[in-house]
Amino acid sequence: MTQPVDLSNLRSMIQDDVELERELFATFYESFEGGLNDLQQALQSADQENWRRHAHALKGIAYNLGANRLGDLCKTAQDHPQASEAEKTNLLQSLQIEYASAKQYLVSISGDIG
Amino acid sequence: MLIDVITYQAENKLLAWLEDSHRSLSSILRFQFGLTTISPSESSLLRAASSVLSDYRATIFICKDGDVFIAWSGAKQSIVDRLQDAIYMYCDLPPSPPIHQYYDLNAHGETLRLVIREKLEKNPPIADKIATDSIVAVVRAADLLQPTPEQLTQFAAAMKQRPLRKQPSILIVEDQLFSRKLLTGMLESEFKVTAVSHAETGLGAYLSLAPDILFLDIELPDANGHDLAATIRRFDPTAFIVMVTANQYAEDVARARENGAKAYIGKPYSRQKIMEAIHKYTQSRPSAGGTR
Repeated sequence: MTQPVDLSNLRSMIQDDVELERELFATFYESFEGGLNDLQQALQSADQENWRRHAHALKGIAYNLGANRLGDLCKTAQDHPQASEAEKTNLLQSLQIEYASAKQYLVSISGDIG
Repeated sequence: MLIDVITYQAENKLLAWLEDSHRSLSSILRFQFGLTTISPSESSLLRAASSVLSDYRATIFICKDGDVFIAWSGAKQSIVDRLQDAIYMYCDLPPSPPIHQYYDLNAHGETLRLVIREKLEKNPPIADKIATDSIVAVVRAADLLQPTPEQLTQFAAAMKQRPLRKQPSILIVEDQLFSRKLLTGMLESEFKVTAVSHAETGLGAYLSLAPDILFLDIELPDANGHDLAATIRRFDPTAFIVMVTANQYAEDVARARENGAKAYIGKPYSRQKIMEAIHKYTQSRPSAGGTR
């Protein structure tokens, strides 16, 4: 199974700047966890537009990081704002699991506490 | 240069910023606008900070009580003096300026934390983004994107600098912090880069700086990127706009083309796509030897 994050594009963009990479990882954790909370709120309030908007935001972050499986899940969430509550709940759980996997991988390679 | 302007949960985010272990050499300048009747706009604060902190990463925190904290990595007293002067100039302050304090985080970190916690107890921060969005939605996007006569005058002056620049000045308007930092981090070693998170702030920055290239996200919190592009093209038909987005919808591509966008880059960004867009710009500049 491939790693949850492919950092080759990111590292190419930032020319292997280790400090910037560390800063980006920290921003990824903060932004994505905040975004997952936003999705949860949108699910609870049955707000389709906010669900779509927050999923879209997370998709961009995931793809720019190189977390393609995570980005694909975000895209599915974005493209189905009218899904049922049960479907959205399952999707959100999948997102949380895949995010945890991505974070664990990044922490393991960077030595951060995360 | 990467300057964030934070209004939502500013007090809590400032506390989180202070907790970051990498901040020990950082400085914060506080302006107690909350004790006055002055409410400087985000764009005037950004212009002031941009004029001084071009070599730094900085964050402007606007608290609910009106106080403004400008934070940056670095501890030079000369920066403090210049930043104070810039705030007075760009925010058009009266002869009795607001009380301000400088905090060296190494020496005054705990004091500053106490100040912020006291603020949180007295004034709950601006409500969370979802609730605040309902207020913002009442203000039509078209109202947000109207340049003032003063801004247009400033833009005319800034445009005179464009042909004199040795390398392109780049403005990034992208609401997601991760993507904004990534693009800024990639470009700031070679170019003069300013990055903001909202359409209104982006318009103010464009008018103030007259950048050579604009990287513009489509989905922004306060307005649509297409609307901002159309607004900019009205007063700057030569604007070099590159739309960036996580979507690849045909209608977005078509609208970008209608607005005269020179390129359309989907996420994930790549160094190749970004540099191709910049190369397209330099080729189009007469001073670069290219042809229009």
